[in-house]
Amino acid sequence: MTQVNILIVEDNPEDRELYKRYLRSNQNLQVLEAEIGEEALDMLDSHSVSLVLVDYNLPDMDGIEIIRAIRQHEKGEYVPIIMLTGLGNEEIAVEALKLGAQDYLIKGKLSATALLRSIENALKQTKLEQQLRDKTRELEDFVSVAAHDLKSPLSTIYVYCQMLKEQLGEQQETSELVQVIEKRSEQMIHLIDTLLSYTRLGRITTDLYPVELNDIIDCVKQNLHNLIVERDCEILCDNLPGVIGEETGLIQIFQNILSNSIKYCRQKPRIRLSAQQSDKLAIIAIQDNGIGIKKSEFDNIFLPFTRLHKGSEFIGTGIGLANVKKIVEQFHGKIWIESVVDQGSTFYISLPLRDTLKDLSKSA
Amino acid sequence: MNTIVVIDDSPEDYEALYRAFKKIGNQSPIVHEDDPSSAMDTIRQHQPKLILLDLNMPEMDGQELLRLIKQDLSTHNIPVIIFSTSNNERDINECYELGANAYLQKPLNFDHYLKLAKNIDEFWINANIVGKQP
Repeated sequence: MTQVNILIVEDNPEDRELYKRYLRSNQNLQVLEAEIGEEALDMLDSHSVSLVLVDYNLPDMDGIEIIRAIRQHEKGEYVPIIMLTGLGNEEIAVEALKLGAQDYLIKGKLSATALLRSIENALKQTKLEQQLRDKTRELEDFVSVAAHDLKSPLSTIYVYCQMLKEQLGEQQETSELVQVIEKRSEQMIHLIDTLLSYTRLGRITTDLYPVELNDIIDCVKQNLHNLIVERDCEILCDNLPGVIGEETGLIQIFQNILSNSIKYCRQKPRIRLSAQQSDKLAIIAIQDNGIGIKKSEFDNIFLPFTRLHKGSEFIGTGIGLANVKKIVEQFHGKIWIESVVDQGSTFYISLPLRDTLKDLSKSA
Repeated sequence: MNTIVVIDDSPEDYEALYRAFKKIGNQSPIVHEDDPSSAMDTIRQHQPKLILLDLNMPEMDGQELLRLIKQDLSTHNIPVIIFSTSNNERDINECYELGANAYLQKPLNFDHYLKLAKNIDEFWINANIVGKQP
């Protein structure tokens, strides 16, 4: 085991001494000390901190504030945190765990064994999480490179089909065959683009700001104008609230769902958008009269590469809704579905209402 | 001379572009360079009126080459049109920031290749007529 730097953040000198004594039994553990939150944040900057042991009640910050501050710190996003709380402060402890602390220990009941075991577990867990992040990153890079490399030759095939078609001119039958190749390669290019944007979504953190959903829907309707006219689609839209998000992402969300509603429908598509407000959330419902989805597929449709229908009946990439879910989650929202086969589906999207911006930035 | 230098490691992609220019009856000499590492020499030697540059190439990527072109005093005034399969906002922005004059996303359909070639060709013809007027 390499050297591990434990940062103790505790304003009570006696408590600090006690923890130091406990930690001394493991020679690999090196102790750093801070009395207040600000000092602890400075230590993160100047030292390589492996784990933070933090008191729930510091003179300048409470336990929740210090965890938020550490997580927002450049070097503290992933550092393991163990919170020391007083007896009867379980609520604070639970809140700490929610914010990403690895463990909490109750001050009065502390023993050397318990402390060391908790530290060992937290370090192990953090190491595993880091490995998982690295692997995920690696996998995303691989997909991104593979997709790019696939797109290049495909683009060439696509252009050559068109050159060939032009040369063939009158020879109709052959030209039709080439057209199939052209169309298929075009579909594949589209698929690769969608795949690329899926892998990209996980990495980009966008700034969130208030957006009027009514404007988003207007824009989506314009983008889908041809499809709407072609299918003689009827869209009823209630007045929708403002939410916290980002324009491009919101357009992607609603465009994807609306175009699905229109495409996966065997009759004249009728779509109704409505909204409810509960607490700090807007819940938007998008109801259609499409072919519907079996209950057993409700979760699957949000996974990448799920296609429920034969390509000959409905064209799709199988990534659309996975992208939608990723974006909704980036906006601190949720998406779910209710549906009856042959009657239609309702997608529900919850997003923070525009007035909750302040709270969000605090917990982000 | 209104030489156009095309830098693309794929002979097939170059072929498509070349055919488009040929088809519209282009008069400008076209030079193909498939090795980005010797591209700067080719550009300096031919002093082209236009550079068409593929972004995704082995050894040296298009961005790096674009940077070199725009940093070199003998080449920084030459307009560069980027061809790339990437629709990544970051790639596009980076190219414009480095001084690219246009960013075209592949696949371009062949009809667009033809239109592009025609417009470039007409631009030179017009430019020459204007230039020759007393």
